[in-house]
Amino acid sequence: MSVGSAPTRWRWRRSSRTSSLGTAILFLFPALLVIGVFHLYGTGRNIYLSLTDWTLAGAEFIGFTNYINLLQSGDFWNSVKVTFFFAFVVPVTVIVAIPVAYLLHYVIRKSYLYRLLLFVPFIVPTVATSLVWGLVFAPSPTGVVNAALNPFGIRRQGWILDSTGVVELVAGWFGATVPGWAEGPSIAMAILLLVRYWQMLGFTVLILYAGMTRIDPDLLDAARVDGASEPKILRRVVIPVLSPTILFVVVVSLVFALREFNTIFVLTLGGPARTTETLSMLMYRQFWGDNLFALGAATATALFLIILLVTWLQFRLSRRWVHYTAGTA
Amino acid sequence: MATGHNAPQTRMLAHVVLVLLCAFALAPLYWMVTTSLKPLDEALQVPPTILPETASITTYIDIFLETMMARWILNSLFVATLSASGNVLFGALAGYALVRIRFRGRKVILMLVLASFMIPFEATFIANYVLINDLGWYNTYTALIVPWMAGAFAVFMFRQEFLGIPDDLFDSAYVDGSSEARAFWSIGLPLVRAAAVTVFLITFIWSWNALLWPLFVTADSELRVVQLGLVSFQTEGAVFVNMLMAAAVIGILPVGILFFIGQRFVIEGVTQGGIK
Repeated sequence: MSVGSAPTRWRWRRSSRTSSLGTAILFLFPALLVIGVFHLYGTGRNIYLSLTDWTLAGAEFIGFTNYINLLQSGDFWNSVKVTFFFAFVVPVTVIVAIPVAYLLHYVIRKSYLYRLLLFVPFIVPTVATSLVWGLVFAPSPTGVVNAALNPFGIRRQGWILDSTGVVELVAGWFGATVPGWAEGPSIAMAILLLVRYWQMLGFTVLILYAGMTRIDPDLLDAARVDGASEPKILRRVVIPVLSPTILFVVVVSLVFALREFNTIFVLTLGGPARTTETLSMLMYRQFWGDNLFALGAATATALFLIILLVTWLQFRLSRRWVHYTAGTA
Repeated sequence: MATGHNAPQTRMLAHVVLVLLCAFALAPLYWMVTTSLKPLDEALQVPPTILPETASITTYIDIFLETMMARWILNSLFVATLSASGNVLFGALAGYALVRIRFRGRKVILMLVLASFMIPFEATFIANYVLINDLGWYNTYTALIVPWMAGAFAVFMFRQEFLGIPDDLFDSAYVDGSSEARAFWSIGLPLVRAAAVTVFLITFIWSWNALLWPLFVTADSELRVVQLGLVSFQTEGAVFVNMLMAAAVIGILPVGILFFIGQRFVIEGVTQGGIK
């Protein structure tokens, strides 16, 4: 009975203090001002600017001209391709991260230190760590990898300056040549992906681990009593129950990758030969390098729409997935 | 229950795998630190030395004497502390109001904040750059701080936290007839201490790690934040390898220290959606 009466009392007490609209405005004002001006208005104004021929001299409304120019430019489609490649390969980290999280949660007893150390690359400033990676894969003879390979008689490589496609490279070892469309991502892109894995692994593991702590242990014990092997338990019990968390971490790392700027800026600046020029790098170049302000705004809008679409898909998918796996929190 | 999953050899294997992964995670940082301790000729040696043969901290002293690193560190500390404090204070106020005060339009405001959470910063940079110029804030600390003094992440963290606090705890304040501001300050805020630490640490780290925005709105080297300073070393080729690595170590150190002091809070924040 007390449980039943509690909400009414609660509502009554709150409503006795509803006159305080003024107080609410005061409390909300600073946060809403910043969010309103720099996030919401900023987004709206960016879209408006993308519909103008804005230069330093002024802005005139020109409709979708910037977007038409964008859609007709090879640079834009190159960036879309590069962005999607980078973004969709990065979430593959979960394939490594799931078994690692499993080891940390179910196999060993005290895993805190491991989790902490694995997480370090995610939390330290990307500019600083990208500088080290830049040194590791520097094209100079003193670049760490070049210097390390030197005693084995391997001549120095271009690494982050190498636009050779990965497929092209491997084919080259066998004396074969491949057509332009089949070159594959550049060596520079492959290095970016490696750095990205390094940054994201600990984060992915941490989120998956947190998901595992919410799984009912009885579920696993029941499977063990039935004599299921560990890999089988992982595949048949843990992964299905964990699917909402997996979806979440895949989408989050996808969105991070779509937006990534710092790592690419420090390591390749979009080069070589634009093989790593993602949309955010393209936006930067248009705006900062080429003074094409309005076109940069159009690119920013395109990136925004892509991210919105991905986020929306996640909402749709997660609703369905959570439905299938009710009871996982 | 002695089953396969905790057999000693399985656990042994797990430790081997995890130690290797941790080595992978820490190797670049190891390289950064050891290179920064080497004199230049050793830092450029081929093949490189794994352990520095002659380790010294002279490079660090040089960094502070010959470059503006000290200034940049202070800039970053200033900017990050103010924007993190803003997130805590304004986020807590807004989160409190959204939970404790009933008013028309509460749902709408919540939706707006939620919407702003979906917006990637990149979608606003160019427009915000123009606004900063219009306001006359270009190349000032204000431009570096104010746009980041509040955000959806902080508002949500505090809202969630206040939702979990029973009404009864506020009764004493209401009986006393004290104002909402008093109730917030003397009862509300102390109850959400843990969330405040999390929000502070996460937003501090964001601010510290930011590069694109400072690149947009500052021009003078006196106003550079650490990340921008590091990039300028690289692009201007102004320093040697060991100095670059020493600068990188310095750029990481404050965040590294904060992370190790407040690790549980940071991890809590990240798993709850506090995401770069």
